[in-house]
Amino acid sequence: MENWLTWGRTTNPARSDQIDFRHEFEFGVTDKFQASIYVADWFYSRDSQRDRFTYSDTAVELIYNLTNPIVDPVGLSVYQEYRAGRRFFEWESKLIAQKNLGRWILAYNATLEAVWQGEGLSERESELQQALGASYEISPRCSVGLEFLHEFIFPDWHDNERIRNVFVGPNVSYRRGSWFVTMTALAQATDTPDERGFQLRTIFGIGF
Amino acid sequence: MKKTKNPHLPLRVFLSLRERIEVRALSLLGPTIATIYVCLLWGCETSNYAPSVTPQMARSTSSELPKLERGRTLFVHRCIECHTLPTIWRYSREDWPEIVNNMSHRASLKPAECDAVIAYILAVRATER
Repeated sequence: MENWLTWGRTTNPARSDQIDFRHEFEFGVTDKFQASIYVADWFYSRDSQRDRFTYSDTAVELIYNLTNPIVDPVGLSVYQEYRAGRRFFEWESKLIAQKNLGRWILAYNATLEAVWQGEGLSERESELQQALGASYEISPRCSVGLEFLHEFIFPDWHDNERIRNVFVGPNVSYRRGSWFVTMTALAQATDTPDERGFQLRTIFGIGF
Repeated sequence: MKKTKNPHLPLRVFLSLRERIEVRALSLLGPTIATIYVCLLWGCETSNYAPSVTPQMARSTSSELPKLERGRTLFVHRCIECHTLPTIWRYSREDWPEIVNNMSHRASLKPAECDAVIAYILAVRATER
């Protein structure tokens, strides 16, 4: 089980804060196939006018490992996630590449997201992301790394506004017994309005 | 009528050409980095962390080949869910069974699967070095 907690701060044009919560149950169906349920994605948001808790959606995630990062030249996986909430539906597909080199883990994710929301799900947006990460295992319990995220946002599925975001930041992971905690801090290197300037993500996981 | 030549035209053409090249270069940057990254990864051989099963391994440890194959598959799939894969030489022959047994719960290994992983690791140790 994994609990995600992400605090994000937006400062452009106005300051606001949001804390996102995700609660994931992951099952290893086979050695190559994993399925997850996000029982509830919800968030707390606060700005100069109000603060509130909001339920966002419930999601299902499926991952199939095509190749293995140890025995094959590159470990490749395909990932599919469906999120559905009130007047909200999201489709997210990913190609995940990973390579383990001794104590180093290198990963690359290419993600395509499509969102339908609002009255009659008439508002559309899509997003293309590429993420690059490297992590080094200092000891069997502790890893540190760096993440780089490059986003292309397409409001109404068009690229007229040419919105591009770049985020970069470090991460650290600590594991003990059957639990682990991973923290990632990401700062926006671009200056896109209404996008988070900084976010801190914490994942606490426990295996049963 | 004689056409007057625009003195700024060559500069404008040059700038526009340069801008086009810059835009082109930027748009190619992402895929280029990704391609180099994948090539670098592809070239890095790491299967020595989990050598392939050979008939010699089976003979030297009196284990059946399918059991060793199963052990290798479990070793490379389950163990990396929590940590990087240690080299098999990092721990002694005597230590490995205890290490695998201690981690079996976290890796969701059943007793027969645990035995297969241990058999594979000991078979690698018995045949190399």
